Amino acid sequence: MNCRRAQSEFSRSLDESAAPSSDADRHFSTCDECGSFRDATVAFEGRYRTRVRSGIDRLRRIEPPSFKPRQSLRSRLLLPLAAAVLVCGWGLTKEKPAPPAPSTAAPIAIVPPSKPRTPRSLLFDGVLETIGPELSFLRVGELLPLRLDQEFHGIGVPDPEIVLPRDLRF
Amino acid sequence: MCEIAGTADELLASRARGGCRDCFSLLYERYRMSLARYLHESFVYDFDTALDLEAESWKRAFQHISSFAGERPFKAWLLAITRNLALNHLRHVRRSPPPETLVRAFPSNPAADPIERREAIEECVRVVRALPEELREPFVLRAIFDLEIREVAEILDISPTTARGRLFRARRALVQAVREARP
Repeated sequence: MNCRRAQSEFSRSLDESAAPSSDADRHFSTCDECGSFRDATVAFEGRYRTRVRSGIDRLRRIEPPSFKPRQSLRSRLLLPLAAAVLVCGWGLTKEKPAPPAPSTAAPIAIVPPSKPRTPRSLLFDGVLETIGPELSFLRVGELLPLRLDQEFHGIGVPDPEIVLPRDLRF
Repeated sequence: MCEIAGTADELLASRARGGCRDCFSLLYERYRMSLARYLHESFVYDFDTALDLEAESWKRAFQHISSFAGERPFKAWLLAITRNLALNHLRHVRRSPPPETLVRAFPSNPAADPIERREAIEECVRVVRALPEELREPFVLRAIFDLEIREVAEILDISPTTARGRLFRARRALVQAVREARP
């Protein structure tokens, strides 16, 4: 067995956690050059590994990890947009005149219309069709707040559960 | 948080695929700095760029966690993503090198490198960094992540025999460099 073959076998044994063959062992015991290669390789790898790993540990201590996936450009634009929609809707609702105070007269029940109610809109309706996992917290299926929904559609469909006084006139 | 400390990577990744963000966070904590160091030792020589690439790797991993099938170790999957990003980065840098890249090999000024500043880097690290790229990478992968030859080969897209051969050549070159460095 020549030196190169013996060293190659030793290298392989390091990578596969297996003992080198008896031929290689015999060669290492008689060849100073290969014995020196074996010792230097083991010492060097040990030192390098220790050095790098202690460096990694030090970096961990210096910079405490926290996972925050970066927001995409779309999410960065959509969040302020959603906030603006909410604020505008709230403003419109605030400007509406207060409804007349209910009288103490006997109430009447309002008959529900035969037309079905308009379904409530989704908060991110049509905006986030291809939502990525990083936006999952936006809850695409979330409905608009009720008052915003009424403002957007301007329907004012009476709720059958609302009871108004008999003498109330619009 | 679910009971996840000490859980195997592959199980954490599988739970992360099912939507468990805590599991992904734990994987991130486990490998974040190793990944940055791997990038720093193998591809890029300024640590800030290594951190940028590392962050981008996690973003990609998070976006594509559903494609992790569990057929190979999570760290091999993660390293493949990271390596692809690093190679793309290098291709881009080589195509349009900014002025500082042209004169930059490994930093000659230790103060410019946070790793060197913090660690007073040893000769063994310098010697590894001086290896040719094709020998350095398998050596660093083995040293930092303790990967099997099969995994190293898969990440580097070479055969196990080639990976074994490169590691042997790396060891010979390192021993030679150490001998030459000694007075």
